Amino acid sequence: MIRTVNLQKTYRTEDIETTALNNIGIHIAEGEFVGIMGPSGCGKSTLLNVLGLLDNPTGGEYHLLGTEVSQHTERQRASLRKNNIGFVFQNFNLIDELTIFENVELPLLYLGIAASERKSRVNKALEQFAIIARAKHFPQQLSGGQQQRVAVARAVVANPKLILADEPTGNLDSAHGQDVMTCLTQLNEAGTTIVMVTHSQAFADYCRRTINLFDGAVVTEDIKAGHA
Amino acid sequence: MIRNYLITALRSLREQKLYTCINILGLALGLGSCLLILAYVSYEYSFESHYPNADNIYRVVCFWEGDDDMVSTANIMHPAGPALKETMPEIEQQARIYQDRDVQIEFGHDQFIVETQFLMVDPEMLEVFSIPLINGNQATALLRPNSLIISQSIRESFFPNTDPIGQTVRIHDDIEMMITGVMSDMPDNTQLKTNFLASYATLETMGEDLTTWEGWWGKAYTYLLLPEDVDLASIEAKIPDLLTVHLGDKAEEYRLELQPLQSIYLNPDLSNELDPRGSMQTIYIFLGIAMLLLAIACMNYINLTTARMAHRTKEVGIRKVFGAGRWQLAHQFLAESVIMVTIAMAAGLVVFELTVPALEQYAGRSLSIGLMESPIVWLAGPSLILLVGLIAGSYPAVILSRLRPQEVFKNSSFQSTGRFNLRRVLVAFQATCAIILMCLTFGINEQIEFAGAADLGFSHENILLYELPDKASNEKKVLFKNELSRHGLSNLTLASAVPGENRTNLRSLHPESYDEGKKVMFNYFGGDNDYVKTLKLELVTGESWDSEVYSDDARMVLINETAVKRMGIKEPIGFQLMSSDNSYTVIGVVKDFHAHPLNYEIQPTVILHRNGKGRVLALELPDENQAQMKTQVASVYEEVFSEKAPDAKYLDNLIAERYDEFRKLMYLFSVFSALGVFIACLGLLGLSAFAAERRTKEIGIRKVIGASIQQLVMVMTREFIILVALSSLVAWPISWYLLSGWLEDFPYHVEMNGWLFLVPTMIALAVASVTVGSQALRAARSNPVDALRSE
Repeated sequence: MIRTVNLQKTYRTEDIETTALNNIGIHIAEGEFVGIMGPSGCGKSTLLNVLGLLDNPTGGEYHLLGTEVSQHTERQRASLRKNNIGFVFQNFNLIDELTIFENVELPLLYLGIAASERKSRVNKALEQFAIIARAKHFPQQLSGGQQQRVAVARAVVANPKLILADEPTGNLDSAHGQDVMTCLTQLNEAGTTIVMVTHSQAFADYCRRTINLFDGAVVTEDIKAGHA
Repeated sequence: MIRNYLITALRSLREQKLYTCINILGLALGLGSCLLILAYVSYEYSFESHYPNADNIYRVVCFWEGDDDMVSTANIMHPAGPALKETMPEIEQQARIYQDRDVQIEFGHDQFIVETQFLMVDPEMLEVFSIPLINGNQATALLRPNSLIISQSIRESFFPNTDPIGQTVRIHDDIEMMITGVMSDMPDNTQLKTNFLASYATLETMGEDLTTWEGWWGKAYTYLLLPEDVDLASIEAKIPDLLTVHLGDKAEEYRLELQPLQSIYLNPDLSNELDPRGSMQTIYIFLGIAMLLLAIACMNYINLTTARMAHRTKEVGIRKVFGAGRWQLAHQFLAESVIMVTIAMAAGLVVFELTVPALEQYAGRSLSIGLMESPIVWLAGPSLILLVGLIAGSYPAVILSRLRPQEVFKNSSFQSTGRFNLRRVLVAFQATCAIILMCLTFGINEQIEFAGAADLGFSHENILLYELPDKASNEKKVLFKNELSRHGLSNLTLASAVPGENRTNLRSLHPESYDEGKKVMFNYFGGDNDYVKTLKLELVTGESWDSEVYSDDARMVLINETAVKRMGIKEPIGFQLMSSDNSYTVIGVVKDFHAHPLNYEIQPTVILHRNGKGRVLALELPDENQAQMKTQVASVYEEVFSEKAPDAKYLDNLIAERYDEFRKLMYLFSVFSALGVFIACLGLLGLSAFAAERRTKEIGIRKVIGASIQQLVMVMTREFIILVALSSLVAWPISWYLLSGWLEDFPYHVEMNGWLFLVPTMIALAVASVTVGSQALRAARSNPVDALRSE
């Protein structure tokens, strides 16, 4: 599903060049649940952004679903993104002015799906993550764990093939964190590929494989027993 | 999708109430006044356009040109119109209109009305201007002398249940008029608005000679109905021949031109123009102000929206992540902008309706520009919504839709960097506009004060004018004056006119040393022996008529210094001035005086000796007991003339009235500059609130490190103060240029000084300091821990 070859990302400010990703070569197959770990500033989020087509690499190849996408235009990337990728963020990133229902509905709106089908799919997603009762509330009225469940519901509502999660449990206490991880595991078991950045070894243990980054490069890959 | 945009937009507006109120209020004021001005301008342009033949009606105007002088009148001799029609078959029709002002029309006992514009018209007027009659025979209603058509509203007031046709009314005390028709009321937007059309032939019964080509030309407003494809030049080319037939050699001095009906109202450049009069200058000023206000309001909008972008970046990022394309986001923000402008427009229409009466007061007449009467509002309104919404929304739309999600999520605050950013430029532009408006207001005010305080060269304080009855004999007038003298009034004079009254009496005279045919146009006044003394005119050389030698000699005249200069004479005393039937001898020269407002050059002036004659009596009231004295004068008046004394007019008031036009202009500028400053202030308030919010963390850190409240306020205020100060540097030369252009119209004007420019800048600085400072103070007083914790 994902294959990168010598992936590079450098940031250039006036006179300093910073290398955020250095010759990353990874391969993620369909249906995998992969964790990305490493210390702060090692390039985890940058990698996730590049994988999620939010950012362009400055060098190397990136094959997504069999297509080389590193040279895609913004428009092409936006189209690939909305059809194939769902995102979950550490700080939930829900739109405060929209209700829970409307937040989850958002990806379907941009896919141009008819109102009646939107309604049924959103309701289904909200039910799946047990937040249907909160459909008419605004994000500020929910706890952190509930908000993250909404974010997960939003990420899956369009049935993406890939979910990218950037420290989804980072802002949650352990009980709510467990809760979210359970959701993600269920999704993976249903066939969705998941790539998750995390700091926590405990949550990384949910993954079948962990990629460790250090200073922008892959240092080790751990494969959980029984998943090889 | 639209629904989603709408929801986000409305909820985000509700979330930030201060921002929303400021933005909508500013925009509503800008849009409302802009629409009002548009409605006013389109109303001004609509004058005379409702006549079906409007495009094919022309007025004949006259230019008389002597050697040194020129007089142009909006009306011409009585016989010219019919003569034109007779000699030129291409003229389809002609109609003459004679204006009689302030005519009292009596309907039987005690019922009367005074019509400011009483018109006597040719029967063809009904055809040329397509005025249908509700009652009466169109073809014959105006044929006979003393026929009268009344308006529907006059009929309703005075003949509610009877047929007015055949009834008689009286004008000018003893002229019987028979009602022969009823017409619908005329609209407000015509100079021919009247409730009465009398037959032109009535003029003959009033003693007017309708056949003569001699004498003063300003008599008949003459309108021609021409065919669509008319060649104006060819008609105008034939006029000189016609004039030669009737005027002989003198024909060369006259030129008749055709003026399209619809251009008359806005270009009242000739003598004897009908009222009301429009002004292109006012229209330009109005349009200029409208654009400035709209610009200020739009800039507020852009500024506040971009300032608020920090709150929207997260939303943009999320939408992008979940599939929104750049165009979709741009559409969203444009749609939001249009929604906002629509709300502001609704509020602006309320502003519009509420300010129409004020504008009517300004114009001094009723204007049919209510919302329902102004189709332009319904055309311009939606266009303005789209225009302003798209223009003002496009900058935020472009900037926001360009954001990259990963940047947004990395640092949640959005800041434009660099010294020269759009927001600063817009604030500076707004401040510049506001300062210019204030400079102009102060400049106009200064000139009005200058004019009010100027030494006019004659006495006007406590001078009271009494109009004398037309028909009173000279003996009675003198008797009136002598009676008043016996009551202890010493300064009084019988005069044909006094300086400061808004009357222009022109007469051409031949200076003796000039060749035959050369003449000079004089303003003339006429007065008795006491004229110079009462009005305290200053004699430069020679003497007045007080001495026995001259006391009854009508050929002895005074002239002013300008006349001496214009004729280039060295020894004015004894100089001869000739008219066609008289010769006059100059016995004195008076110092130049401002008979007319300061926007007119002093003209050569002659004061004729008119002992015992006059249309007006001017007297100087003593400082005390003025009311008592006025009652006495009134009772003497009634005794002598056996009629009610008219309201006496203070000459000072008449002089002040002459500057009404400029006072109105100043009023206009003060209202709009206050509005401009207010809108700009709203913008500053919003911007500084956002700046304070954006810098919460910085303020917290500075406070922790030890900055005092004053220092913090200074840090946050400085940027805006510098911007306003810099704006002044731009505003000053522009204001100077505009103001000196305006003052150029005044031959006698105030000198511009530094204060005119410094004071507006100081006001702008003070207002900006208070506005920004209040926000800064609030931020500076907050607890630093709260600020830092929120990060």
